[in-house]
Amino acid sequence: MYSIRAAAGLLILPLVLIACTTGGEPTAAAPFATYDRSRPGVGDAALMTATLVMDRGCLYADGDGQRWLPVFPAAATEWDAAARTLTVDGRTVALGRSTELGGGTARAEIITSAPQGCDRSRIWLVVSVGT
Amino acid sequence: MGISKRVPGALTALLLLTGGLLAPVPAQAASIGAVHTTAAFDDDPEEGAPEDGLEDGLALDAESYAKDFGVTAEEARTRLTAQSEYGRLVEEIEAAHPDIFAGSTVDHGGDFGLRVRFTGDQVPEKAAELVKGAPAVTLEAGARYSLIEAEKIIDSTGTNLDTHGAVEGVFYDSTNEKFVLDMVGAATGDRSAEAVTASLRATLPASLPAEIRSAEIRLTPQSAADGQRGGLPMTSCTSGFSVRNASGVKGILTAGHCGNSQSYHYFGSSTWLATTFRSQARNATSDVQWHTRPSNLSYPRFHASSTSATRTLTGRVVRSGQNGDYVCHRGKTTGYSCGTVSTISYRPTWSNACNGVTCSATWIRVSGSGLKCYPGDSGGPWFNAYKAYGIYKGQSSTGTGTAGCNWAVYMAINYISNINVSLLYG
Repeated sequence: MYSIRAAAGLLILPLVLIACTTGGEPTAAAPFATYDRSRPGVGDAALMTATLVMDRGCLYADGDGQRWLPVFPAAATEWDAAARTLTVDGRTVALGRSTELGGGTARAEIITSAPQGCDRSRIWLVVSVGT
Repeated sequence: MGISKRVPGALTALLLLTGGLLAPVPAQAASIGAVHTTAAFDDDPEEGAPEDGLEDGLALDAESYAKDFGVTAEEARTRLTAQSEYGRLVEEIEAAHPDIFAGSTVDHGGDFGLRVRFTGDQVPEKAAELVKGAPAVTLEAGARYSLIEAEKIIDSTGTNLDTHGAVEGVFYDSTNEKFVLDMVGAATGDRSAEAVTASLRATLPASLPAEIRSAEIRLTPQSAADGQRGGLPMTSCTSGFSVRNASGVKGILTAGHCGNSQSYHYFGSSTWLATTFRSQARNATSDVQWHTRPSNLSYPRFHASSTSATRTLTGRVVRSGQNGDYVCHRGKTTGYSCGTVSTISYRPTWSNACNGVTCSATWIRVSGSGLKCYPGDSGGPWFNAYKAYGIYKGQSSTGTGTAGCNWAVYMAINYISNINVSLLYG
């Protein structure tokens, strides 16, 4: 039993180290804001071309010459801290790469969760990613 | 253009077959009253050779219509000309009888024509007067709900449907006198559509009105992949129609949810022209804003099927006159495509649909096999030939082609009054 625990510890330790040294942002919690979406592909139909950036533990979208807090569908979005990619509805976007965010502007009240301290002055509700 | 004029093609044939105008006759007691007119309209004065740089909008929309409904191009053109007049006619009828007006629809089948319905047991005389001379118009009494009553029932659902999760929208189908719920679900494996519908119906809150709990449920399949003129590409959207305010300041429309910082560029140009945000309305009935350029130059034109030629806007059709109409739109992502209005009383319930308030049942829903819809199209113009119908709002879509578009939603053009502007006509 002892040797199994030790082996497990050896496996977990590197993962913890990777998580704590990737870009300096916290990875224990998702670094992006979320909302409860009714279903994929349904919603407002603006389209912002933007680059995803990480700033002090918050994932933002730089688009249209402005910084937006993109709010992603909670049940359909995953963050891969090691690869620094976000996957929405099965479509993966890398940090620092240009992408298209379908949806539109919204009020901050729509947010159901977000990292502490994120700037909520400009909200972009994401209905879909890419075209 | 008057309404007691000549009509070409199929409607002329209809006139000959039916032997002319029927006088309005009150219905017999306990039966449904009906009045059917069969006179004609004039030819559209916009017909003829288009100017340089302008496209023949009626002919192009008719081409799309002819494909969708399997009629000749000439017949399609005749029908769309008639449809253009119906909108104004219905607006007048609704204004004359707001409490008993139960909706209208255009029948695109073999018996093409306009059908207008009223509550009560007889057709109102004023309405019969208004349609005298109009081609292929049927007035019917005996409707179960007026449009106002149906919309009140939908409004009484409060936020119950917005928070449900599987309800995308609700509307009243006045043609078939049914309330309808758009719900997410699909028959898979051994689950039949009936079983899926029954299980979804069981999830509806008991507090909903009986009319909504018993509404027809239309299933939308879950996608496996889920994953200074109109029609120009804007920063995050598409420009709508050209407008002006009471002071004569001219600009262009787009959707309110597009964001207030917008530029646009002409097709074939890479130069982005910055605009100034003027005002917007984002509420239960409206999702629209307008922008200006320092030059104050705006043209009453919009791109429709072509990125080089434009159409001149000559009129509009208000919400009440749009049900059943064949309409087209242009968006920066999907280009030009057309469909048929399935309801003028749609209430979107998707996340943030009306910016934090419950949407009214006043939105327009469009569907059709040739329709394309996707993000980026917001703010773009909905039209038929040379008349404005609305401003693109949202959709249910899994891709940019016709196969991906379930339906699209737009704001009726008359709600631009909420930002105190009016359309520019040429």
